[in-house]
Amino acid sequence: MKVKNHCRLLLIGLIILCSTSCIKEEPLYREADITSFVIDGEGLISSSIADDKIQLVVSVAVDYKKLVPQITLSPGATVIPASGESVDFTKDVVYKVTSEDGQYMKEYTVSVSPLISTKFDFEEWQLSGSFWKYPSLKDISWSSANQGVMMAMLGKVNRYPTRDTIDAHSGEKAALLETLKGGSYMGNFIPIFSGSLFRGKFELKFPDVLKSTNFGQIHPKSSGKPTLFEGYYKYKCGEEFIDSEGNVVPGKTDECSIYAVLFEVSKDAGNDEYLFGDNVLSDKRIVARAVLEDGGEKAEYTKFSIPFEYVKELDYTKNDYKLTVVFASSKRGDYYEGAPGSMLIVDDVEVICEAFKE
Amino acid sequence: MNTRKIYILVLFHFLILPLFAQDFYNEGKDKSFEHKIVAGFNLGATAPLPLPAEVRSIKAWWPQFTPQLGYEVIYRFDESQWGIGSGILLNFKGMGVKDEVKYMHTKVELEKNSGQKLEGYFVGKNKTTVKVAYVTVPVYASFRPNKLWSFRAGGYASYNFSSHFNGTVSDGYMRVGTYTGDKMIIDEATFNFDEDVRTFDFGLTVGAERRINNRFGVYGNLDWGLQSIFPSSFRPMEFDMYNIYLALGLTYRLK
Repeated sequence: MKVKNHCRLLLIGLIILCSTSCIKEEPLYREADITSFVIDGEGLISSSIADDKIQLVVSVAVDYKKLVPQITLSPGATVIPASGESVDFTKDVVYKVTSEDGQYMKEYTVSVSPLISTKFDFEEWQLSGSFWKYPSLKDISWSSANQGVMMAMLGKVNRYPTRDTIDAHSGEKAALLETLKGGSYMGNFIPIFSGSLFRGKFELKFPDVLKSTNFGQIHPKSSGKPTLFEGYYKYKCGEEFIDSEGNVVPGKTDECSIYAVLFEVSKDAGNDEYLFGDNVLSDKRIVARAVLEDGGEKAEYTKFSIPFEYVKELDYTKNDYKLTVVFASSKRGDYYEGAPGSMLIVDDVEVICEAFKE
Repeated sequence: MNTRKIYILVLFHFLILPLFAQDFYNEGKDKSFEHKIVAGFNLGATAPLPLPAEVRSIKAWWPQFTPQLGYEVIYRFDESQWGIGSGILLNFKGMGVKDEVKYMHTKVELEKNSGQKLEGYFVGKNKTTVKVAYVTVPVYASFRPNKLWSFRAGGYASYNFSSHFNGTVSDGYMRVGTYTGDKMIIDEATFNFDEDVRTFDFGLTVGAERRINNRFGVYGNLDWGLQSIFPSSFRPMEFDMYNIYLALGLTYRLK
């Protein structure tokens, strides 16, 4: 009898163990993100979301006073003003997102501007990031890898690889890109961080970091056919070239990278299609390229003027198109090769387009 | 203390103590001392209790090679069913687990040995492997209602001399700092908290043993840790994790 009693005790113990280890009810969502922000109808040209800013580009025909955005949120979240509500965008509008559990809130500032400009002076800079801050261009259709460097170094960054400089070709400021020494992050050895600036968005991905740079912004038909890629730059090489293993390669000099690429994306659904670090110059979807051949040193501001070389015809009836412009202080920076100290300064960049012949 | 010293210490107990014990045994006509070698296998988990809501599902669990080997001595009070026991055991505890988590608070060391950790909330899949080695000294009351069965209940103290607590997070993302912080997509990343496991562990032990013959018996002991295996100053996850292991094995009575 006693034996049985003890067995029973053990059994009760086991039952307690099982009952306390059951899966609990799922916690409500705590995120408050706007994942997509578009406008119904023909007017929308592009929509960029970065951090807490949303930048809409619309055609000149659109009436700013009565725009009806369609907003997609992270699961369970709510937004004020609501999706589908008509809003006056003659001034910037703040959208307030609240998480499903009601505990977390995020505010997005939405600005609407007319047709994308293809001329860039890099005058206006800001600090981005919700937790730590990193420099970025105010025009968020441009991105850099600064956010990735910030996270890799836990916000303790003395100087970011991509930042502004007063050494401008015209105006007050220009963009400065500098290759910096890296380290080992999450078991991945990244010997250098190349300075970069590109049209597209940055979304940090581990461990395939090359997929973090999402190249491309919508290039509407109304902008015309890109023919010439122009701008001014200065370039200075770093002293020691480091390969992807972290070894110094004697005698090898760094090169900068400057190019523009036009590529096709699916009609009306191409907003999420991008080129990445590993295929931006080689992908089958590429229609035209304008690549600077000479990546060598330039002590003074030097003009580049590169014609687009087409490998395919543009056909807006079948595809939509995206255009990216990429600058990097180390040409092989995508593959973590380059010389720390390499410095590229760019200013007054323009993609010249000609109107389509109807 | 290094691993080798620990092994020597345990061996010493195995080889030398029974010799003294033998004397006790021979002298005592009442057979009040019982000496035995125990060899078993630990099955269980190093887990938070109860499971926090952040753990959404457990996809798989598998044991590690986690043996238990030791020497135990029980003193029986004269003509009583009761006794007290102690011993010394080399005790490996461990498991592997695959689970899915939502908003698991984690600290990931991005740069090795930098001492700096990226803190945030992870949503996605997790795979953790735990293997911790202890020298354990139990102290317990023993109850023997008849010749076949004996039961025990008491406590144990363990000294940790080697630990592995590592794994991967995958197919998910991390929000840095807060739930609304920067998003980092993680296809796969590793973590390693080997160095952070506490040196001491203590807890409760309950168990039963059944004799097969004069020499051999089978036993089952449940060791329930009462202290989190990570110190409160360093918690890679937001909750406490306890060693909860059931040892199953054989006893061999020394004569």
